[in-house]
Amino acid sequence: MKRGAGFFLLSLLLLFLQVAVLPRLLPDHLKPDLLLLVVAYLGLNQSWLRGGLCSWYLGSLEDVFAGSDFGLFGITFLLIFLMVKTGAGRFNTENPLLLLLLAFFVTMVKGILLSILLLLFADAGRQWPLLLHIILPEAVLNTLFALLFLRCLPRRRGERRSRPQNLSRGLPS
Amino acid sequence: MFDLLRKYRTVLLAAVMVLAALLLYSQNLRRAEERTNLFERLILQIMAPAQSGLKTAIDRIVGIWDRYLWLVEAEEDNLLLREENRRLRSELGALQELRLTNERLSKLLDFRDRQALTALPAQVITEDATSWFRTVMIDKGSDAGIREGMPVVVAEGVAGRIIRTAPNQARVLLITDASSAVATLIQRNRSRGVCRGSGTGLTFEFALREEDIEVGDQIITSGHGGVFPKGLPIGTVVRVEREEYGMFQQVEVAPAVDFSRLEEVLVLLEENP
Repeated sequence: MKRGAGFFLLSLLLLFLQVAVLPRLLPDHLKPDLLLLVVAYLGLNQSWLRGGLCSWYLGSLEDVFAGSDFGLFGITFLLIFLMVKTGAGRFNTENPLLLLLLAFFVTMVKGILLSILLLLFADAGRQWPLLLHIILPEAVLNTLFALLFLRCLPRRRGERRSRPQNLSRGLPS
Repeated sequence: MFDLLRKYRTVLLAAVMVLAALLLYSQNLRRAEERTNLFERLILQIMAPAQSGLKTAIDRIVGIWDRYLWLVEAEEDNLLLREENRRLRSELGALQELRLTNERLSKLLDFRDRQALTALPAQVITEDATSWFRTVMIDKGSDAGIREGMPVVVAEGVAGRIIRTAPNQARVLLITDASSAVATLIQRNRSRGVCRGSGTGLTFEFALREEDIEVGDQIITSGHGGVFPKGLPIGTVVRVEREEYGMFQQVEVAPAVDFSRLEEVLVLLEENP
């Protein structure tokens, strides 16, 4: 319960930074996707059910403040989580460099998924040039913020390292 | 059966979640009216105090800095402003006479569109959460009479339209967003077209090849889209390209509004009875 409330408050804080604080500090129309970084982190550390639901929630939260159709980021974040989770078993998830690389690639994947979804469900013909124009700077920016994000997590990662690997971690609790 | 379910439960779980998310998204796409759902209202209401609090705090800090600390060129500015004030006062008298004449002529022509609309001032509090879309949040919502679809303007021209409302906040889809389209016409020759957003600027679409469009032409709303009243400025033509083949010409438009400095807007409410 306490962790759930903590996650809810953290998500609101990150969203608040994303929509109200960082746009005042960064150049026009360039902002990091902090919630996407959390989704990448969840993909490496959480179970299918809990991580999936949390990613969907984070996407829905972003939907409240982005774009014009509710649900677009919800499904995009969920798909990104599933992709990261599927691949997580093949990598050393304790390596901090992995989150940096992931931050870059999930931003690229987000752009591609958004384009596909918009193409399938809405008129995305005009979104393409904008997506291509923004995708690379945003991926670089997200990687930089992932670096900051990692700086905030050393203690927790240290705790995790000392714990034995729980093979049934994937089961919903 | 249960063994099979247990074996493939991860795949099934993922499939169920994706399907549910997809259904929610498509359901929202099809909804024509009242597009703001309960989740959105809840989050907007939770976030509202923090957003307005931050804006007030930043405005105060900037105010203290400008008024009490950064006074390097205050005396020089003061002299210049006094001189400018004298000049402007003399111009004001002439302009007031012109305004009165203009008002009389407008009445004569029965040009009442603008006067028939009530405008509600609102402040922009946040931008879109991503780099891909062009929306902003304003500090007035359904409690102030704002509803989805209402036009949003500034002194320079059209800014966008309301797409979501909560009691104390509303989200505006700017005309520069790629999903935005406004029915417009060229002021000089009344050629009709649709202005679509391209992220930073606008394009004037469906302009036939043979139509006379020049750089510098002013684009205004046609009033046919059902959202914006007729005659509001949209932008200025900055590039015209006619290819050898094809029915239409490509026209680029610079928006009349500087969206990077959007702070206060007017929401046009229902027409007066």
